[in-house]
Amino acid sequence: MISLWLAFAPVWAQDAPEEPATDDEASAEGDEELPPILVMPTLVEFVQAPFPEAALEAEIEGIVLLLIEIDETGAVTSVEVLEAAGWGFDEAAHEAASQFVFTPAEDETGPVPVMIEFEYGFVLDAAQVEGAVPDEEVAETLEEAPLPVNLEGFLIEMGSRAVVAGQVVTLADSEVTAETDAAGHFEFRGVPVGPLTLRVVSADHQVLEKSLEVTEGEVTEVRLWIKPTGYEEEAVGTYRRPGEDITRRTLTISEIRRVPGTFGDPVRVIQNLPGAARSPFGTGLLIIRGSNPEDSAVYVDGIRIPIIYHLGGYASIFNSDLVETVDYLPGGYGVQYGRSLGGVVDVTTKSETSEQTRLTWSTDIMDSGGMVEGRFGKDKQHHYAVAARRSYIDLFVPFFIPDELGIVVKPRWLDYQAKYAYTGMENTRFTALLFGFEDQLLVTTPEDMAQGTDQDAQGDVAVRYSTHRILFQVDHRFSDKLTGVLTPSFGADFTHFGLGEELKYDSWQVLLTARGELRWTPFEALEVIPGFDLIGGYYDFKFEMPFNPDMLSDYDPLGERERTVVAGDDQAWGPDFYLKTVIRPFEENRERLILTPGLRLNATWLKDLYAITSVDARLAFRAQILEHGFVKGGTGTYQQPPQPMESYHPELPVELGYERAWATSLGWEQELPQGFRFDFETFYKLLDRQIVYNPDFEDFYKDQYFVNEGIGRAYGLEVIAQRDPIGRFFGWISYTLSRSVRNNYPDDDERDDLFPETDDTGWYLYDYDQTHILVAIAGYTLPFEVMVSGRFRYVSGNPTNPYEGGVYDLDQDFYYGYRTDEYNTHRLPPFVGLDLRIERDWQFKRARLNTYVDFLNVYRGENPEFEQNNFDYTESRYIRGLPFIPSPGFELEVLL
Amino acid sequence: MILSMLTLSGCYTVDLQALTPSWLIDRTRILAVEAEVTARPSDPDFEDVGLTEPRPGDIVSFRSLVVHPDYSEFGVTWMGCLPEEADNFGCEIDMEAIEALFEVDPEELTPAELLELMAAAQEAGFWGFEPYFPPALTVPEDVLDDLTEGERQEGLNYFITLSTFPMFEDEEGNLVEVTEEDEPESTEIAYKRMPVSEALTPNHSPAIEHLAVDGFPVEVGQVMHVSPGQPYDLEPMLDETTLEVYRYTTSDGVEEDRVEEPYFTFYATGGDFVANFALYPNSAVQWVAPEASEDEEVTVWVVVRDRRGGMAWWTQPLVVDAP
Repeated sequence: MISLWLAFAPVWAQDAPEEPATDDEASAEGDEELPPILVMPTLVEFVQAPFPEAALEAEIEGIVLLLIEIDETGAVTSVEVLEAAGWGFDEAAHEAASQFVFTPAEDETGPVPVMIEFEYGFVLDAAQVEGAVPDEEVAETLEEAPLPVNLEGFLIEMGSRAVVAGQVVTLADSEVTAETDAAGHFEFRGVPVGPLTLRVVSADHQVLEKSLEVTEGEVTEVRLWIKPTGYEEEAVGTYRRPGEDITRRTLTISEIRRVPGTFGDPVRVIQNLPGAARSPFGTGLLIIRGSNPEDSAVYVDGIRIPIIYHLGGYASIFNSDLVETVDYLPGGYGVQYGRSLGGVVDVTTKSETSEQTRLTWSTDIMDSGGMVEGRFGKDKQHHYAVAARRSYIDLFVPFFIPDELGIVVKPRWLDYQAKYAYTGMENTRFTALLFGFEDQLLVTTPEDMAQGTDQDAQGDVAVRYSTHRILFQVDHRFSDKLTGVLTPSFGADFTHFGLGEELKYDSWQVLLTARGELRWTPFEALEVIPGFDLIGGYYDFKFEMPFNPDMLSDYDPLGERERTVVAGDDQAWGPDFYLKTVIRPFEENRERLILTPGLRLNATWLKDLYAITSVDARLAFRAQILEHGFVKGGTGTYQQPPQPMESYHPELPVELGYERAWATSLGWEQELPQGFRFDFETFYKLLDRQIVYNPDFEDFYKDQYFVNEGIGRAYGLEVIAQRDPIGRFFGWISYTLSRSVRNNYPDDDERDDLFPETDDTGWYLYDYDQTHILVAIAGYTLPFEVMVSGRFRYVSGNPTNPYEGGVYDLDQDFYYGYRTDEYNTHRLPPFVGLDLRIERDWQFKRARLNTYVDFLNVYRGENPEFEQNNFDYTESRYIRGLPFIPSPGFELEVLL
Repeated sequence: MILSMLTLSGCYTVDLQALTPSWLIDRTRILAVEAEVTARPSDPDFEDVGLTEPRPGDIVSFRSLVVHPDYSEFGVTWMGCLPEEADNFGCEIDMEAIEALFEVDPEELTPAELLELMAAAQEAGFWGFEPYFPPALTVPEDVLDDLTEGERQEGLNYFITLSTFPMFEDEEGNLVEVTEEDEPESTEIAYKRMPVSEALTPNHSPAIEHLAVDGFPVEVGQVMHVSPGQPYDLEPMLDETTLEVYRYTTSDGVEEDRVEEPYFTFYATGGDFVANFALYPNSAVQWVAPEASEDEEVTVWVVVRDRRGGMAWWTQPLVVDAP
């Protein structure tokens, strides 16, 4: 049987305007100019639309959002499709709705014309899927349905918009219940007149409570939207939030977890989006639009953090269950982000936690972790979430290393998060977030076994780094026109690298980071957003070497070793200020044109080393050209201070300034029926003042190590065609065509003495230049809630230039390889790979279990990550990426 | 290292094709070079065995350990220069003076004329061509003149470049060069530094007294018989009298005594090493004899370096007895 369900929203406007009004506008106009509607129109004659045959055969469901104009008699005078569903749904819904008859809406003057939004839903019934019952029977069933009902409605899941069948709906404070049918419909008979609360408690949804009033002599209709567990308010899937940034791709959790090869980690999904180059060995390096990995910035709730991935890039440093959205901005972002030439990744943690105490646990072959969240307090205004994870790869790696080597390898990572939010204040929201991670790799060798023939490098290898942060966020609404957010953060970072007893690097820093932003809307067409972005603190480092660094400038392997310690401590501060405005000049449609000019003042001060300032100016626009088509673009400068390793000299002030990029982009974004989207964008980025090695460096204590001499450019186009995760299918195809080149010394003609060695022009391909990056991702839900998904990738190989032979250094027992071709004039073979994932959800009364197997590299090409040579560079072979790996795992959610 | 460990852990893979390990002698290799001061014209009574760090005016001779699994004769060209005449990979040589030496028939020249030509070639950086012109250098008296006293004690490094190729005797008994066309990878280029100084404690080459196989000492030239597939501990025994204590002045001007920290590198024409290097005094490594269906000759070489430019070696012939 085909079940049709319908609902209309209380969105209305008297004297229907020519253009559809938004909710806010319509409400505002009604409040100011028109008397309020006292009686809502009620549908008294429903016309059932036939289920389109093509959709029926394909088992496609759909929802058509209609704008229905009703005159003062209750007759439908016009119907407009606001959100199309395709497959013939739109035409069927339009024709049926044109024949509806309503009771007229009334205000204090009597019957008035109104417009309402109406969702016409087409839902397949299980029986119909099996292909049995004709449409006529539906009508008969409807006609024969008992009528003395005074409260009815539908239960619908947010995000998927799927009806929720078989769910108990309870009249709060009573034992009266109703169960939703296959169409999500429920009804109550003889409900007492007056206010009441409906309550829905579901294992895989957040608890829902809805207050309403039952009026005597009327059937109260209600549509209950229930949030699935882990539901994010913004959107599902990847999408571009219209407005201030040219390209902001927002990832939410629920569907993104289905992407194979990402270990269920939403942050790793970034690597499948346009503009992101494939990182070597899957390390998760952020190589965005031809920029260096260190040129891209990562934020958590607006606060910058040093890295986003754990050791080896298998997992991000945040528990997925605590992540609400991941914003990926490959370029063209606003002035609120700075100190970076590349892209931006902004992780936003959950703003609200589950009303019921909820426990989640996930396990895969690399690590396990869990989270508990819930609320407490009188009105459950105190939100909390605590999460932790630890890897156990260190437990099984030893099984793969022969015992006779006596080597012990311990790669390990762990992370933790704790969040608290208070929502009890009317205009203020307070949150606190504590998080951190520690990664380490220990390689322990037998005492009599060398890492090499270097006496000073004997012993263990140790890499260890950790980051800890606590941030507070106060979000206050001063008035309807002024809001503000203040986010102070405190933290510490620790780094240790050791090779044996002689070569060690240790550093630590304590940081104060703060971001403050006001958002003032003096009138609808203008938003003014001033803000500051502060980072600074105290750092300390010590580098112990078995040689005098001055040997580096006059290298002599027979020179006597001299244990040297280079140490320093200092303060560094970067107070940046920005002013951003958002202009929406067209009153009838604020989305028609959005202009976002902005200015950012950058400042960086390192005591005794340098103090530098710069100004960035950026402009972005987005214009609606077609009904669902937008042109967008922007241009502006982006500047980045020297990296920490570049910001040191034992004797001299550092003579470095900001690196600079001038980035421009232009694109087209088109929304299509059936949840399809298409996005095309070109970009061009000019780089100058890039920091490169000082070609005149001779003396460690007297010369500058780096200079701002390099230039470069990166340009290309990005395309993504996407189907939103509605119904059974989701997926996208992403393609990037790009080129990124550098010229370290454009003004130097003596190229033989420079690195890298290039042709006379000085230009060379950037190390991670990948001409073609194609990613196709698709998922489909089979019967019995089994989901299959796949990811195919084709990426051009990285540039390289192979060795042609070696010359033996008898003193060091080491061959130096030599090349005759210029730098990066060859390419590794392309990367080709296919990953698959099969998963199934198991629903229980108060729990959900998701089991899955990721099949990584079901198919893979040659996929060299780099070329390895033998001792004298006369032989070579490829080091390849991951082999075929079946990676099982599960995620468990329990409502306590 | 991280990458190596991940590879070990099975996270990453390499092509099946194995790369030749550095210890396997399957091509022409220059394994070691030893310089020795043989005369000091300013001191008729000079006698200092093993001195490898000359002073200005000293006469230095050189020898090399060049190996190949199939050849025993090699042509070795020796070039040398001071650092200012060298680039990263060798000396910038005035080839005219060297070509002049090779363009004449030595039998047509008087010994004096030949010596004059050789002196001009040496001045240009040509130090010898084995097996015909044994490599040698007379260190110029003025080589350190531009340096301060402290710098003269630290000295300068000569940069020595060797290029070699195997040779064989033809039917007429003449030595014939094996070219790259005859056998790829038959040539090898190597370089080395030789300090020249007025150091108070000049360096002497280390010396290997003997090799112990499974604890039993082996005499020079003695052929050892081993069983196929069996592991053996190879331990070179260092002549500890050559383990030098020397004075060193740090960059802060602090003088201190230091002891050499030599290390050993092992090579073989067959079998297998778990690790082919060892640090004194933990000098032993394990070598596994190759599987052999008939008697097979294998050679093992051990090279010791004192990290100050001094080198020495031991050659050990072995026979793998067929079961």
